[in-house]
Amino acid sequence: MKIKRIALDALLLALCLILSLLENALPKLPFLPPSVKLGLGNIAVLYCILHVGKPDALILALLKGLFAFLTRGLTAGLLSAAGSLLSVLGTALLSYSSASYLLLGMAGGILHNLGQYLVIVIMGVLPLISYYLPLLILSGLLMGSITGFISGFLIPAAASDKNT
Amino acid sequence: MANRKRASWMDLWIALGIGLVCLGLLFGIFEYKKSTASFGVLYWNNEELMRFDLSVDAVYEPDSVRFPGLQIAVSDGAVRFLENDCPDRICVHTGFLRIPGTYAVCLPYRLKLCVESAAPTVPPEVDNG
Repeated sequence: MKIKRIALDALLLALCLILSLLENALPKLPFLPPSVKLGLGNIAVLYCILHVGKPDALILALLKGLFAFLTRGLTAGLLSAAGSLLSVLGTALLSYSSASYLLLGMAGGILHNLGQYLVIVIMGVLPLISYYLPLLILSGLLMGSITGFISGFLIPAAASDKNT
Repeated sequence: MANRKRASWMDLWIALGIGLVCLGLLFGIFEYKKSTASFGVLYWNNEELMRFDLSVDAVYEPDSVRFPGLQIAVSDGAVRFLENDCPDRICVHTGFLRIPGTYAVCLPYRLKLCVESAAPTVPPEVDNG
């Protein structure tokens, strides 16, 4: 059982990374800051929170951060880990309620960006209140809505497939 | 969990509320920082490296020893990272900054380029004498 769970976590991590790679190939929207991404990998994380286990989702977030650290350096690793951890914690708490997939996606998107912004503030690069803050919340809301909307179709289908 | 909806009307109202608050905050920040005269400033670890007069079009290499690939361009009253050898080049892709209070950030090198208002940001000391 434990081995099956580890294998499932590894598959979800691989899916996260592949989805992140895929979204890099998509054209960037011109009205958004250049660092803003769709975050398709969050669909796999949301699936993990809802159908595998919340501790597994936290491990997934940490491993995503570790991967970013190994491939893109310390700053990228810190940003990824902080964003993912805050996003997983917030979404996991919200998942105890009957919140819709869209709302879970929006919360995850906003919290992911807030976690990253917090690291930038702690590094002393930006002040606590700057124009980046509302811009990041807005882009998190938009991108989270898109991933939440997609999750509403994919996750129930994947979960019913898992149960059969 | 099986009864979880894809979306609800409540989500729309929540998104609308958050969106309006953010837009209000953005508008407020830009209005607060608005000024007729402004200049570009490059910071490293919050330490000022160089100031740029936005009325003079030029390309600068602020610190070629510490940041060999770094170039800052000033053109038509706006400033940008023209070149940088950081991995993601997000700072370069941010493009021109024109409005006071806007930033372009290079996290790998801890550089921040911003447009600052010429108006004093710290209130003058009160002299009661």
